[in-house]
Amino acid sequence: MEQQQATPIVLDQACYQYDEQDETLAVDHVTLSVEKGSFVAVLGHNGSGKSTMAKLMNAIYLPTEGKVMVCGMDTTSEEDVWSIRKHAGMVFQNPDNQIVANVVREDVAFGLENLGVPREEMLPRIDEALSAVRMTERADSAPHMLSGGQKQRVAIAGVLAMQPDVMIMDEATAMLDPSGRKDVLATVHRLNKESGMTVVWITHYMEEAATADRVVVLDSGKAVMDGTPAQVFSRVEEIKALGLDVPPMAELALRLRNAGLPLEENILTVTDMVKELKKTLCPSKSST
Amino acid sequence: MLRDITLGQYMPGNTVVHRLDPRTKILLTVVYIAMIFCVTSPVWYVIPLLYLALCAKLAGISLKQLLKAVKPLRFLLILTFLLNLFFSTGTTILIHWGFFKITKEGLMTAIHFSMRLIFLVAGTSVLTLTTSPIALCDGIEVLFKPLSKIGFPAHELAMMMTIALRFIPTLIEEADKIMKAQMARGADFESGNLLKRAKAMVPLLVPLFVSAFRRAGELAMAMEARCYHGGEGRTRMRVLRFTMNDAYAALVTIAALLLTIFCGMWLK
Amino acid sequence: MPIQIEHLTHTYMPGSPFSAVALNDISLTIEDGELIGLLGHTGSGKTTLVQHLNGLIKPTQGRVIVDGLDISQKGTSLLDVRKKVGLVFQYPEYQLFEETVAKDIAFGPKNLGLSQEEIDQRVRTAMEKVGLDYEEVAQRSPFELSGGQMRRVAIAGVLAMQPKVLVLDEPTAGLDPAGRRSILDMIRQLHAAGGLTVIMVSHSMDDISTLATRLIVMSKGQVALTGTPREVFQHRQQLSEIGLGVPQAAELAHALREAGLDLPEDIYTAEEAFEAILQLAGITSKGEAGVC
Repeated sequence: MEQQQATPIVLDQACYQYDEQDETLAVDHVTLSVEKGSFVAVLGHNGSGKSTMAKLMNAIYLPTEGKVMVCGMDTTSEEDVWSIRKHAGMVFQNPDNQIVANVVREDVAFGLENLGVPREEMLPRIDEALSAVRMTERADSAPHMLSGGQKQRVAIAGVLAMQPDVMIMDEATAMLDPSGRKDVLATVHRLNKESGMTVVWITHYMEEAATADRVVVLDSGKAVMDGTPAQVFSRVEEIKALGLDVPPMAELALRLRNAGLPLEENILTVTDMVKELKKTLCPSKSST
Repeated sequence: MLRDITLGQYMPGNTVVHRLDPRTKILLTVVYIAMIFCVTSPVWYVIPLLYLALCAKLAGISLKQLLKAVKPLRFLLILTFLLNLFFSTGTTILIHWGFFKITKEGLMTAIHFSMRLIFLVAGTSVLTLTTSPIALCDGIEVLFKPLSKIGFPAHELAMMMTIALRFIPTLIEEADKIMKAQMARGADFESGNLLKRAKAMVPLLVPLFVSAFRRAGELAMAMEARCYHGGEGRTRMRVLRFTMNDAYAALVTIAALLLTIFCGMWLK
Repeated sequence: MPIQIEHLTHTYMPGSPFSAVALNDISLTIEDGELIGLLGHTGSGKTTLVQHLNGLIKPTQGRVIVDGLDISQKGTSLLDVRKKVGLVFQYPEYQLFEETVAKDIAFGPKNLGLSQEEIDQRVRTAMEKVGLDYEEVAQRSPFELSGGQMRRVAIAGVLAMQPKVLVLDEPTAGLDPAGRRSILDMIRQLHAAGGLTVIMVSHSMDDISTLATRLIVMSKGQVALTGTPREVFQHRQQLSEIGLGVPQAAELAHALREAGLDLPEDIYTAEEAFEAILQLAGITSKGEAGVC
């Protein structure tokens, strides 16, 4: 209804304070809105407040100041809490600690059971969710027999079956090996492209943030940068000062520019770099 | 590489016994236990014996598997047998040897109680051998549901069992890893007396508990994020359904119970 | 104190339906003072190999000889082997258990039966080596420290055994870039201080390429490649088949050569790529770009 139209997530001067005695704000007056269908990366080092912010987005934590709206619902309104969590699905960091059932299919069913979805409706939704994360073949496996990346895909399916409007990936790749990370990132990108799923991707890996539509950089609970990956990662020195990495090619491009090579500002990948260097170097080669 | 362990003694299969509703199997196990207690003389164990043989045959369980289930109890069995043999009162003395005397009644009681123990364990093993732990959880949850009206936490109990089953392999794997890490620091888990060994477990148990609590906290958060709010208004993906086979099984079992009662009371 | 691995094969649960060959006829020698990067996919056998080095698991076939001690021979004291080869597991902070940091680090030396003074001395030295302040941290509970600090405590706990060989299984797993850099710097310093052979298991080409003196690449229970980083990264094709890839600078150099530009073949660090590109552009030092 009306909720369908609303912006999936809006933070308005949202703050979160863990301890009443300690005045430190884990999230410090963040204003941010996540548009429908977008893929937003939240980048920050450990302790920057990014995970706390994620938990504000589905009413696990409630803002101690300011406001958080999920699909038009205020997270502080108690009667909406289950509706909010249905709309904003969350995948956590540790793949082992979010799978409840002994069989993959049953774990995907868990959220639906909690929502009281009738069984006849449940079964096709589970199949659909499993096929969306390419786990249909492992539907009857025990979770502990799966790899880390596969477990995270099961967790994604569990959230997906609840048909949320936005998926919050709270450092969902931090404990995976490189192939598992690639796998999970590709799965979520596909969901974003093919079914327009809104994604909030919390991470400290710049190479993952570089694949998003938009990067928000968090430091000491404040949103200190916000823009496209190209815009954000061209600020090499600032990013490094925040204890984060920049894509190696962005850094190389900066050094080359400083040395006098006229390169564009939006270089993030090897492909970008090769294209730019060809433009800059080849004409000079052919002309001499 | 402990991830391949199987839990409990469940033997996956697709026999008629495996396919019975877990509720039926749990209830009929109770009936079976009643049957054992209705046996008044060792000779009438022939009825549960035939009944058990029929179940085992239908479930594809071998005698060897049943005996394996009884094996851990062998010391208890011997103890039961000896205690009853020597300390039962009776009049017909078979052997008298110094302080000890064995009476005919004592011997009969000893055999009787030992048989009872064997049949109890073997019978309940048929249940656990043919019913997966998950199905058992489901069965228990549904059977105890009526009791939740008087405050019995049927759903919570079943959820706890499910989670325990889910995390046992994870924790075993973790225990293995912590143990190796401590061994790399020179820890010795294998030698020394009982007290020394118990003390050696501290470097294993503390990290394991810390980790279990961390996992519990994270799992609780993940469950709430997926809208878990107790058993109320919850639907289930797995449903239990009685079939005609359940009715036949009930008939056979109850017939066996009645026969046992009859033999015990009238055919002395 | 070299480590010799001769025709090492390891099979998990041999004879059972779950039987799996984790290592298949591996022969390797690790010399004193090397800093080895052990690379490979999950399931390539890295962790299994590493656990042989201090006798936590035994070869199914073949031999592992640590400083003359054959780990599978009957009379060999495994404690002696573990004194020589210290193994830091993945996420080692999950093994901490004592009330205080100092007590936890003392666990290893205590198991070696050392005197109290010796133990205290070792705890102090180990803490210094991993960059923890004794006065500030020693009497605190390890469980109140940050993740990065806990990891340092765990590494100190192994260093306090004063091993000749330090093996680290993915020491940077789960850390953010700053934490990762500082652990890598610490490893570099430990090695540079001399007298320590380091074997570091890693997934990250970029982490290891600037650190290691030699790389060992494993795949499917076998050694697929070994050599200096420069030598190994020449095998771009083979690495990508294993699913590992090369550092981005090597990737860039390759792509530029494909595009017809004249770059040296063995570039793998950002520094080298930078120099080579400047040279191509006709810029030798910081100054004007060459004529376009």
